[in-house]
Amino acid sequence: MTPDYFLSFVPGDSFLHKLDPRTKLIATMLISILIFRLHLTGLVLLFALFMVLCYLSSVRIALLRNVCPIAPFLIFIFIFQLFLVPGNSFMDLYGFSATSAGLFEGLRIVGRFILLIEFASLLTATTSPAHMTTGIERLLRPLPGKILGVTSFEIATMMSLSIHLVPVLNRFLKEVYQAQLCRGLGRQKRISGLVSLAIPLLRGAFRMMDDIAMGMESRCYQGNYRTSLFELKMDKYDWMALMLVFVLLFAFWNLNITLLPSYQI
Amino acid sequence: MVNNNNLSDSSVRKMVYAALFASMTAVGAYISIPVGLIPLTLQTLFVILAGAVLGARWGMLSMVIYVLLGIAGLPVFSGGSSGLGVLVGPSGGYIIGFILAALVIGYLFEKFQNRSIAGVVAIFLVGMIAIYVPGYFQLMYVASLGPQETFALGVAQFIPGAAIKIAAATIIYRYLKTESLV
Repeated sequence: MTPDYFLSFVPGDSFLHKLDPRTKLIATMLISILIFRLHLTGLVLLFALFMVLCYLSSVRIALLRNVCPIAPFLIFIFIFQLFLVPGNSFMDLYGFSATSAGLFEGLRIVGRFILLIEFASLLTATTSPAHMTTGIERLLRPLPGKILGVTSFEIATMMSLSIHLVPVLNRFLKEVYQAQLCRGLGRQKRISGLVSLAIPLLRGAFRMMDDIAMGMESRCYQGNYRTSLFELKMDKYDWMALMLVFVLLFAFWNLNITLLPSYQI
Repeated sequence: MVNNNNLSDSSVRKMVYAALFASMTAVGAYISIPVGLIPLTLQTLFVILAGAVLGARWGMLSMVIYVLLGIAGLPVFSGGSSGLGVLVGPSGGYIIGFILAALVIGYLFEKFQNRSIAGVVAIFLVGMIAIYVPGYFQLMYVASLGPQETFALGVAQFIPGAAIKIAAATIIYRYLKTESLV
């Protein structure tokens, strides 16, 4: 039911693990922009870069799992592209023509998604959720509080609280689920099945939340500026890594090699 | 907002409940109820309830927190995936739609205070549409699909489950109302 690798963080002591989470967040966003810009040749080069980073960070095994959930999506997209893009046909199947243009377009789109997932997985594999929360909070701090009505410190608090709540609620939901199965959940209609799961979960959770809110207020929590036990610090390796990503972005931006006539790969 | 302990409304309580609905949306993605052929999950059910229970602002914030959890690396997106790649991938539009749906449902709930069951169902239906419209357009854009393929792949197959979840959300919301939990 629940994946056994609940947190995709892989503990380690590598170069990537030591980078500031803000550096890694910004780098991943920039690489995502670049991935949407590139065609097949650029995607292959980026994949080579990904393999190098994987080797440096020693987190190769866990990364493949993240592609599995959207594999059906990717297969459908590839098949659609293969058979629906007009061009020179190299294979006919049940009245549909597979074209070389469709093949390259399908490979480009699927490769793009796989690379997006893999670079994001590399980010999450080398950064713990606590560090990621701190990094996101620091990146959101320049935003004025009026936009969402909350400060970045409150967002960080909500994120930390949610992170700790997920395993608790998951265990609670499992208990409710198995209790209802014992009472014949599978034979009920669908709507009452959903209701009999959701209502006990909500009531128990609301009770828990009231206790947590009371506890936080009793401990003088406010949404204003807070100090932290661990502070982030950007050092020279962080700035060098960011500079490298910017150089990569500019260098690859217009990489479109014409290899076959009438379209670019 | 919840008052069953006779405590005054405070931002701490609202914040805690927003975090709760973010977590429940995450947890709801894991549970699949074994009824019929359609695998029903509780994920979008809690998106709808977040808007109804928390209102526009905090409901939207709870979904923003949910998205940030996924960015932070928790496997809270569909099928246990996570990361920025999912947000810009083929299913990212639905996740953005979660934020929009909670905002729309919360706004409509605040605007129309006295509503019948039909009104609640209508508001939930608008919210469910708000989930699938961004999902539809992002899937069409990033996958370079045509309108009909996108509808078949990204919208049509979810319609029965969405209808069931709207009905369940209506029942649950009426229950919470009668129990004075919202």
